[in-house]
Amino acid sequence: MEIVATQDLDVRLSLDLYRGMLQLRDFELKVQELYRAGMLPGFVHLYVGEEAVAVGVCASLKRYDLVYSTHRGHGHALAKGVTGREVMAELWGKQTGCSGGRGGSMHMFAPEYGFMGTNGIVGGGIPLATGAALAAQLRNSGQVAVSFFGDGAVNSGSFHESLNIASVWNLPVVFACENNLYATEMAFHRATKNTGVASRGVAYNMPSVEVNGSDVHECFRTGREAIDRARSGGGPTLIEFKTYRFLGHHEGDPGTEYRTKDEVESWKRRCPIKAFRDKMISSKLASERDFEQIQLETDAWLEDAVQFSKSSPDPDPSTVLDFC
Amino acid sequence: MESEIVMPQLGLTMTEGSVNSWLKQPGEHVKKGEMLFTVSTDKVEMEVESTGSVFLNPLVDLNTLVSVGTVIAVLTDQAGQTGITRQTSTNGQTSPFIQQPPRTAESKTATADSTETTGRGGIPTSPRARSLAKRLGVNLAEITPASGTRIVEADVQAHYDRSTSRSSEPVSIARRITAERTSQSFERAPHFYLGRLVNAGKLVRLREALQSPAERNLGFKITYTDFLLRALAIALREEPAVNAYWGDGGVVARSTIDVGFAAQTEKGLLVPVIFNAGLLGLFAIASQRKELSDKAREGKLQLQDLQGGSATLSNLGTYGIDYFQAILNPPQSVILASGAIAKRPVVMGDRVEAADTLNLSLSADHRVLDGVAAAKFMAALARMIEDPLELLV
Amino acid sequence: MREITYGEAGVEALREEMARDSSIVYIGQGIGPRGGNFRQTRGLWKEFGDHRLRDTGICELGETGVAIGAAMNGCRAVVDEVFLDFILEAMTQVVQQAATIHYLSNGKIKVPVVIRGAMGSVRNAGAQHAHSFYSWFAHTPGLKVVVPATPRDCKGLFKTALRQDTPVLFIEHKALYNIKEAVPTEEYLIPFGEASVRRSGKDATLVAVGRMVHVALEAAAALDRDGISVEVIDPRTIAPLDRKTIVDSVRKTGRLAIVDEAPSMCGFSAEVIAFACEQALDSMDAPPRRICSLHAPNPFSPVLEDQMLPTSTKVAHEIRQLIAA
Repeated sequence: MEIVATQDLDVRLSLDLYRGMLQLRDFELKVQELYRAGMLPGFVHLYVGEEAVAVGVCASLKRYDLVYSTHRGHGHALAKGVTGREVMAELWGKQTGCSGGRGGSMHMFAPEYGFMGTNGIVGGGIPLATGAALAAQLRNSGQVAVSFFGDGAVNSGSFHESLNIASVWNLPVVFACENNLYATEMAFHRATKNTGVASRGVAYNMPSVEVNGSDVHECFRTGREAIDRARSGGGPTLIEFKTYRFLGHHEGDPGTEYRTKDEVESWKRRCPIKAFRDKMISSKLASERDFEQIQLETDAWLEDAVQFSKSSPDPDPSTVLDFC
Repeated sequence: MESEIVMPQLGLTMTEGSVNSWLKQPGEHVKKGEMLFTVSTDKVEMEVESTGSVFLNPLVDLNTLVSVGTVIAVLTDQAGQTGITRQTSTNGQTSPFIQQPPRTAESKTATADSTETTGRGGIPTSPRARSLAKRLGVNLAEITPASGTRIVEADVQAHYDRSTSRSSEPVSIARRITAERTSQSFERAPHFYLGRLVNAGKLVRLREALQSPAERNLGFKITYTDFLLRALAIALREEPAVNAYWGDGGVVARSTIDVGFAAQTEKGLLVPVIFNAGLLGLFAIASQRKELSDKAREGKLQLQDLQGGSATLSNLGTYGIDYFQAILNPPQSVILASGAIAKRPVVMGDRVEAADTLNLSLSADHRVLDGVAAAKFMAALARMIEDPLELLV
Repeated sequence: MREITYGEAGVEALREEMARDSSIVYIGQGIGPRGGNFRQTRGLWKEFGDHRLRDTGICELGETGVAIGAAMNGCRAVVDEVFLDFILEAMTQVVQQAATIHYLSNGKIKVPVVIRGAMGSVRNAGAQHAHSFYSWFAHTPGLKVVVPATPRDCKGLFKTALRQDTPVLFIEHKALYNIKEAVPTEEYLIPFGEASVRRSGKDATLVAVGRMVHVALEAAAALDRDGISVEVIDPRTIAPLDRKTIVDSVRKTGRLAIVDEAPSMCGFSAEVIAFACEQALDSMDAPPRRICSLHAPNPFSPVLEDQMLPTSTKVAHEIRQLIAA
């Protein structure tokens, strides 16, 4: 697909989008490495392959807009502006993590960036995002709330009730479904007879759209449209991003017991980062040099995050009952 | 080196006593033979000698009944701590001759804890009761709970109140002891009563006649009590069945004739006993009577002055009483209650005349005596009072 | 002083707080124009309108999550489950989200949400409309639990609840909405963590919650005629809990009983006995007793439900046993 760069996006923005995706990719791969080396407590669900969605959507968000994320949320956090240091330190359980080490991967909170939490409960953040949007409407704050969730959440009561409330009250919320075709080991087509997530929005009389989640420009465009709609009082939108995770459900799950190798490979070939880079170069909107530069900067950024986290102190045990 | 001071056995029937006062301060040096504390028993208050060295802190509260043999203080030959802790439970015997009050088998397994964990017969005790018992120094083994199933705070408090003079109106030890003994006597001995009105004219004249000799020989006045005591002693010799008591499920004969008389003191009722009254003449009896009365008044009676007795005389004549019935003084089988000698109408021949008369009332223990035996005894008494010259020989 | 009902007291508290704090939003079923199934929001919609009193469909999970989300973004939210029994549809939002967010965010995010609902049995409402599982929420760290038993307390505690920065379960009792009491018109708040000694006594301590406070007082009056003096304590808030007042009372009386409409197993009554023994075992003169609902779902037939529920007769009987023990 041709990029209509001058009309839709400028190069700078595109390179920012690329940088964002690269940060997410390298970050997650580093987390995988650290986790396998036994450095990180708990467990992690990695975002590798889905970068275009988080980065594309969050690029249109202001700092005061709110994002509610999932168990697979490092990408959302970084894309929303939470620093690499704070996310990495949180994974390490350190005091300097965005949740002070209390949350870990699935309970990351950084309200100063509008990041209102990763969530260990599938669908847990959808009503919360809807409520945040209610507050925005009541207070006339101009905020938009984005709720990220996966295909695993769309058959739940949470999903249904939230979309219903959002539509009847016309709330400024964007429901962003990352349909990566699998909820843990359950293939979407085995969980439901209606494999069209976007079609569900129609049931609530809500604008709904399907998007190629591997194309960051598409993600950006669709995201922006929905966010603008919400911000201007047009109410909620349901976006289905068709995407794929290259790794298993969590680190420790090879992701191959319920997926064929061919399928995984075919999606890897459509890697959003590689595809975008190729497109930019072939359209002569950016050079190899640009990308190498971005890679170097990303390497430095990541290394800094790792070192920072490694050397940060653990939380003070005597604070265990604080905020309780 | 430490030595224990225990609640001493001060008399054959003593089972419990309480420390009235300490005569030395904790830490003070005490010489052997010096008085260390006073004890209240059911009969008397006594001083007890020290066995030497330095007296340490007392281990029991004042005026709290503890069993004979309980360790109540410790003497050491160096100032310092003792390893012996405050005890509220029976600590076991220190001498085979010390009589212990009867105990159930269970309480003999009491632990070395300073408080019992169960009361008599292993009855559960509430934590609150246990705390209070500890504070008050009460022995839980002595308590029977009101509910029957668990010893509670109220049981401990009631026991404590009963066993100390710490009720709302302070009660003297003597009062309490009298209350206990008379209750016991009245409950256990089946009393029956005989009364006789005797002609006291000759007695009145005899006493008068003997006043000067008494003053000269004894230095004090002879009283009707003396005559009555002599009469009792002789009557006991004549009717040996009366000189016995109920004990161990049978009649136990006494080997001596000892006669007691009720003496009211400030501290309460005491009954000093004249030993071998059967062998003493009238003046000798009077002498003894005087000495014991004086001692009683001065609070100087010893325990041995109060023990035993074949019979007791209670004379309320000086208080204007015509007639009364007394409660037996356990374990005695008879008590003679005499009223005032006064001029009363009597029948002489066919005429009613005024004469000095005396009402005698005998209470007797039906376990030991039947009516006839008591009546014979009474008859002897009556005879000797109506013809009192017999009392002089 | 004028007398108002428990229900009216709650409305008054809401009205005052909603007027004072424009960030308060109230959502639930039938709480708008209808004024609430128990008239618990009567008149408020007229005053504050659609924006601030929002009727929802039957979607407790969605409603509750929305309230929590709104509380996370600058509103003070109240979600009215109406029957507390219906909170069960939303338990994941209450326990997994509301209760944890303030703690897990290292104190950065406040969650000023009040979750309201009425517990307990009324008019043989039946098993699914009569639960008293308030102790589940006290058992969950991060939640405050308020159980007013009188109109005066309802108003004062509700106002305090509406000023908290972390989630509160405000649990009324269905059978109490119509009871009356003198309630001040002047502003007053009742702090959490302060029990109320409803009746002073010296022979036994009786702890009671919600409607059982009135059952306890009835029993205490009957026992008083027999010379048994019972101290009745209403904790008013289960979390935070005023243990001190209860322990002091046990130290005084030596005998403890609890009456609770919830079943005894793992309930609030067990908690009271646990801490009373921990702190005052040596003051106890008898083993503690509990008068609770029997361990069964609430049956419909009045005869069966009466058998199941605590009554003042049962309480008086147990207290007599407690004294005699």
